[in-house]
Amino acid sequence: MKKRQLGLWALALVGATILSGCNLQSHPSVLKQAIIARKIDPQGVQQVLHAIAKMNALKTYEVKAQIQEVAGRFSRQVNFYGTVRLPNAVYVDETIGGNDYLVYQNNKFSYYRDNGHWYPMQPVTDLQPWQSMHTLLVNNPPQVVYSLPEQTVTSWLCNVYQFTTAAQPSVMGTFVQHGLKSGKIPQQALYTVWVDTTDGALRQIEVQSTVGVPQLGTASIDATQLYFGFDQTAALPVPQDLLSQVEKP
Amino acid sequence: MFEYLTKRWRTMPLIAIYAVWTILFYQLVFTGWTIEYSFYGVLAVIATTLVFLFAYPKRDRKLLIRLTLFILMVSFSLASFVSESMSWRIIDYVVLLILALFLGRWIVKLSVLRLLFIVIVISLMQVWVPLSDLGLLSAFSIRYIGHINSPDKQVPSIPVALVNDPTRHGAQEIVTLRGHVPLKGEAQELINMMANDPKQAQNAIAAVEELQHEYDVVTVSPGSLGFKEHSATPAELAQLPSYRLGLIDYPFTTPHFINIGSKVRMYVSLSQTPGQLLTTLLQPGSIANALSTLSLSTSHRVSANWANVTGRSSHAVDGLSIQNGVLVGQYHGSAVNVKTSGVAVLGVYPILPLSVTKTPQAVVEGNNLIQIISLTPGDNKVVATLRGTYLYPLTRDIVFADLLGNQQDELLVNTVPAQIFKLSADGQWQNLWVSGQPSFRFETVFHHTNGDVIVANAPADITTSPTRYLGGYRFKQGTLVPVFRAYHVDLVDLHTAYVTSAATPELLTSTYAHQKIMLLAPSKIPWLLITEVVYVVLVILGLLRRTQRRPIQ
Repeated sequence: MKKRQLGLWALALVGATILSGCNLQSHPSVLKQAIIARKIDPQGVQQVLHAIAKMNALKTYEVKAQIQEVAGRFSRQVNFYGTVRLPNAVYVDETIGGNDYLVYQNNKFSYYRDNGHWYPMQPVTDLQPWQSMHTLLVNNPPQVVYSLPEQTVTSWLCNVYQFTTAAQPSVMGTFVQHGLKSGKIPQQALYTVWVDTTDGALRQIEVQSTVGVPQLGTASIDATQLYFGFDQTAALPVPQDLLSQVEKP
Repeated sequence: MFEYLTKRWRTMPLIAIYAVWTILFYQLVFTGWTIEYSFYGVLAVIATTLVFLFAYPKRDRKLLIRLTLFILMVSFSLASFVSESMSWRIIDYVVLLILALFLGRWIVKLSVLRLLFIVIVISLMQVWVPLSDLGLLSAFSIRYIGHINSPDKQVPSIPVALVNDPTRHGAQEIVTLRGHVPLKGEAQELINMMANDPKQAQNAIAAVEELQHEYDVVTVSPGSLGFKEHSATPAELAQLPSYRLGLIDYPFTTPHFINIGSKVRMYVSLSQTPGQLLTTLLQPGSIANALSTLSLSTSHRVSANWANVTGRSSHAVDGLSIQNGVLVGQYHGSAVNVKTSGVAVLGVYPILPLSVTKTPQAVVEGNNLIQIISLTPGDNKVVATLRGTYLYPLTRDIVFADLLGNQQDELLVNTVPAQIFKLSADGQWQNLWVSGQPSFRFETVFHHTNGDVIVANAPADITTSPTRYLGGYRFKQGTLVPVFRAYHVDLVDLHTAYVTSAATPELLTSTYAHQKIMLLAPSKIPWLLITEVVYVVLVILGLLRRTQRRPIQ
């Protein structure tokens, strides 16, 4: 009986120790994982350019994106999700902070909806996102391109390429100068590109960079865009409530 | 025994205490275990419940189970409509009361008056601390809860800041925002102001246009009867840099501060229209540069607006500022002039070991780097630079803490994962600790001579969920040792504050997506321990009851 009681007390003690909380150990290896896993790939730029070239044949595509900026102690983000019918039609749901906006465009008929009301806007141009990557890679080819282990994005097995190059394409070998001299506009950004192993199409692009903001310090930027639903949308009809609003006397 | 207690009015206070204990035990112990230890926690809950129930003889068990379930049911029901409007709360309360009394009569079989007594006790308990905040009691007492009623969805959490109280030396006031409720005739007054006061015309136009979406900038401080609130004065606000209240959805939205008479108001507008933003964001090849430009221009606008409203002309921190890439100013009477890559002064802290110098250093932040600058007279220079990478950027999300009690501060950096850095005597950075959980983040510290206590938002021990709960830790032998855990989610923008007194540190926090702010003080009453001790006492009482041959009549 005594042994049994002792056993119960020991069990209670172990239980109480566990339940009072565990120490948080240091895990320095976490920081090295991303670096160790990547290898230099001399063909990396060509692979990415090849994927971009494949995208040029598209007539429609869907896009899902998340852009996050961390500044001070806050992380804020913009999301958008929708369909683009090239060369100039757009139907995209955009979330800025907690607020939802709908953007509809067909050629120069261009509106956005805020809180149930549609407002005219300047048409969105350059609807082939991969073109800006093409210009960047041609004007500012990265010195080193890394290949990361294959990853599955949604359901697509992808080759992953990573490189650092300019934060925007240089124009005639120079960067556009900004008037906000006191800040530290980034010269470079880290790009990660996912290319579908099955058809060589461009699936996802992630851009990471930082900017030094006067008084505030570093703001970090992380933008990810996923492309899918290639050539699956026949038409982008005008939203009924936009039509009603336009037709109202 | 329970039957005996519940049938006499003289013993009803014991039933009231049992009701309070039941709710506390459920919220502090059971909820804590299941959150922290997942299935193992659930097993512990089951085991603890079985021990409690079977400690009592069969004759007591039926009433014990029914009464306990009744208490928990009423407490959850009361909490379910706490966020509704006052009229709905009254209606819901009456409905709940009828249902609770009916169910109580049927299940617990107590008289209506006694059931009513229990419901009132539970109601009063929730007035004392709302059920959703009860988890905080394991470490804190709640000094103040302020509901903000934000008129904008764009504002996920209300910023909070602290300024020196001009009437109480060493104590602070809370500065925050409150959704403006337009008053009757206010629009007419503003229109008159537009016409009659040319100096105020521009502000009055903005105030009328945004009347439904404005915030009052207010100050909260302790009064004779609880906390009092008044409009923040420009002099109070001038103590703050623009970014303390101006980072609402930065850089995608821009806050605008306006002076209306002696009051300061704020409204938020989009920095770019959804169409413009979409054009920018659909260009991955230039998005980094475009967003950086947007960040700089938004910050510049907010800063200029803030200076205009508050009259704050200097950007100096601890007497130092950065002008054209040079750290300039005065430190303890000595002029400082050092070239730096920094754009923001974070403050003056003792980063180098005391064996190297007793003069603290200036800490400045540039684009993804932190520089430590010596302020020793005649020897101003950059002594160390900590660089971030694109994968682990160094934002301003940093806490300075003397973790080892040696009067040298370490840098608690909220990269993902969070890290702790210490500067060694030879100017090299040592990485003391790296979090194994990506969502772990440092918030603030409570200063202590033996080593500061870190206040952090940390995920549970056994989970893959990123959900964070408040925790206190000490740094010992390369690990973070838990000091307290308070199971409350969504606490953001935490600051160590001295609001009710200049001597006792408190914790000021805003809540994400819940439009409220809270001031917490370290609890003097160990509620968690008391609750656990009461559990043991009740189990022993039950076991003693088993030894009794006949129930007490």
